[in-house]
Amino acid sequence: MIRKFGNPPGEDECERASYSYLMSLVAVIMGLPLPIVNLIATLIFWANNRRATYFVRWHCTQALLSQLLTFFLNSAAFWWTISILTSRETVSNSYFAYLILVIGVNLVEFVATLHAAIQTRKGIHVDWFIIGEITDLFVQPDENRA
Amino acid sequence: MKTALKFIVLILALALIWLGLSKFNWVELFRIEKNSRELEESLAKVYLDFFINAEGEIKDEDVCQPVLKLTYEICLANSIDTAGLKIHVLGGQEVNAFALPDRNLVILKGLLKDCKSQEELAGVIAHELAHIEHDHIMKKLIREVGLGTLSTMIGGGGGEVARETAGTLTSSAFDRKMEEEADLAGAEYLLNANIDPSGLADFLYRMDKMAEMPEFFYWVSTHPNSAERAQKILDRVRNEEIGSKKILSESEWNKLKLKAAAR
Repeated sequence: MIRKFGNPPGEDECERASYSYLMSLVAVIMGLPLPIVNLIATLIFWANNRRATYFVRWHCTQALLSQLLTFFLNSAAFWWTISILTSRETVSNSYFAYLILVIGVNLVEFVATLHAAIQTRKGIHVDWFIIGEITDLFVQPDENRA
Repeated sequence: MKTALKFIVLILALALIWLGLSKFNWVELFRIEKNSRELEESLAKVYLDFFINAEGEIKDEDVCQPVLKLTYEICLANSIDTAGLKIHVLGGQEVNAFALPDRNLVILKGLLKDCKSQEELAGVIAHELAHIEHDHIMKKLIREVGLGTLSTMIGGGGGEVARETAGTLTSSAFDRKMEEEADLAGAEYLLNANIDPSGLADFLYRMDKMAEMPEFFYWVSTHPNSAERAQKILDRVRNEEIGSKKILSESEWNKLKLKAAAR
């Protein structure tokens, strides 16, 4: 969903908001076997920008929350795989079904992240289903901040 | 509230998709069982060729028959499928026995020579059978050698990689959990076969004392903390009714020991 976001963001804001998404995409390549790398990358970027303007803060938070959701899904897949390799656990239809689901969610998240990175670079606000709403709960506009 | 509800709906939707996807027979679709069986067969061939070339296989009836008799007796008492089980007695002098992929059990002459009683030999066989039955071998290979290397082995140049990774199967330990699992399952197999499991405990105690001697090094290094494990086996069988069945006749056992002692 795309919505207007008050005053148009400046060039620097667009760049930083876009980077918050790109950060998780770059980290995906590095952290494929370890689901926590993407989360750490976006967490660091979010921490560095938590005092930035509303537009930047909002997108850094949305990028972080989206990573949090996939982190839990990916972690479960990672440890399930490890237990298959190291214990008496064997591959099953449920395991493959879960892997396919996780791959699907990651693909959707990857495409959405790429789209968000491009749109925010153009200064267009992209609001994701549910995650955008949760982000609204955490990030207040500048005028509402104490 | 609305957001929380949406979030719950999203989680439920994901769970439903998972449930729906689980209804498909992915294991058959991806030919997992067939592929893993083929991988195990190929790996077993590579490793067996390597060990047989290195140690030489013993075909002497007086040596092989008693080993087969002990093994099959334990299998029969525990409903272990003997159809795919392959037992090899090799000429190595090390006190060692190990399991290979595709239900191959390898026993070295050094072990036969060292065992003080048929209960000790039965104990070691039962322990290795437990590794086979609990599918420890492939898990250990995948974890320590890696699927990539294993695929290289069956794709050509297997001998070279087998030489480099053979130690994984013979001289590096299964993890503690797998060893304990094999000890207790092995003790259970022996109880069911009416064989005294203290033979396995005796063997482990002896191995612990002999750990410094080079010919005992192999089995001890694959099976660390021997004394502690021997105690656990004795604790496990303490309140059980322990059988004293002799699978091999005295003459069979004596012939086996005589042939094993011969150079």
